[in-house]
Amino acid sequence: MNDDDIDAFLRVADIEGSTEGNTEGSTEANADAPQAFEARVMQRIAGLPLPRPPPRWRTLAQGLAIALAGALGASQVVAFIFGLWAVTAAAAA
Amino acid sequence: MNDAAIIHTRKPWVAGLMSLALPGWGQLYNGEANRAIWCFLTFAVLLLPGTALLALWVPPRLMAPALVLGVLGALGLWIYGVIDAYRRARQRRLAYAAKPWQTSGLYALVFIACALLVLPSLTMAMRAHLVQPFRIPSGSMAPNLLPGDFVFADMHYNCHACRAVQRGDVAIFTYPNDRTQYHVRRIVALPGDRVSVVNHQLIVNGQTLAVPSPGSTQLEQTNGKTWQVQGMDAVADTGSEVTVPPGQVYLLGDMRSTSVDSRKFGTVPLADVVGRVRQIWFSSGGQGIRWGRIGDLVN
Repeated sequence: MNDDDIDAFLRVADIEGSTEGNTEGSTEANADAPQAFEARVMQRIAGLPLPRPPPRWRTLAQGLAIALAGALGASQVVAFIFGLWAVTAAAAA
Repeated sequence: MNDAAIIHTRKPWVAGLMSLALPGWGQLYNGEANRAIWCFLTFAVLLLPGTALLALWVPPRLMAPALVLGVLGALGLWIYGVIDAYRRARQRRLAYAAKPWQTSGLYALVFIACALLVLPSLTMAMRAHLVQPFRIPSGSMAPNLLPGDFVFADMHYNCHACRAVQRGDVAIFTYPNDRTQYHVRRIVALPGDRVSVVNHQLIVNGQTLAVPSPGSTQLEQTNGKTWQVQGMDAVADTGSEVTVPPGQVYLLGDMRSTSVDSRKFGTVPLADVVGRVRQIWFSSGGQGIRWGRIGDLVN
């Protein structure tokens, strides 16, 4: 079995598993698997590159944007909630 | 296998922070658009503008309590929204397929539209057309309003389909000599009325407003309203009647001896009368908080 076969088998197993919505489908699929299939799949997976983490500046920028929006938004919400209680001076002399 | 299920997990702290910044925003981040919309609508429309509108219809004494309930409800919904967004994001922490519309651009657009445009506009609209609080800094309306009183004014007043201006109303108006200031005085005469002071008594359309009262208390009455005034004995007779021009009103302070009012600055355009004082919701002076005045109606 070459890598294309493994990919094809993984697709079928994934579709069956997601369609049946339980572990039984996966078990039946495993019963049809060739010998040492699991080991070969795991070997293949171990060799795959991990998703690249986002750059540090992007994570920091996202965090900063969320924190700023949080502070600005919270101040707007507080101003809205207590907007009817913020007094104006009326009358002099 | 779906890559989105792995990459686009929901971070509970982000969802919580987003709901802290704007009710419903965290729910949007969790992919629950309907929940987000209802959360925001309930917060922004039903609770505060709704109770402000309700406060104008309930008996006057219940105006401040109704507004307190609105604030408590809004605070409660705000906190609930944060907790709800956090908990639901936790359920989506490991397996979540982001919807196509869940983009940073949409989140930013919603935030700008709702938090920076809708909420401030609603606050301004509520204050301009429903209810606005005022602080009384001077004694010109004593003894009915004292320096340090905080009052709620009905701003749904003197407009089309609103309550019409009546004699005896304690009105908020734009000060004619400085249009950046609001002043508060009592409307004693309407367009076409004739006003004069004879024998230390206020006469409107030939009838005295003074009513017999015990001791040294000075009371006036018109249009079914009775109020106390002070310092009327120090007011000199006018000698002749003043006729209020069309579209104008004549306003006096209840502290007649020292108040600067229509006797000094003339009549005020009816269009400049913007609100009517209804209830004292807080009061403090040199002696501390005046608990007995809190909740008093302004006659």
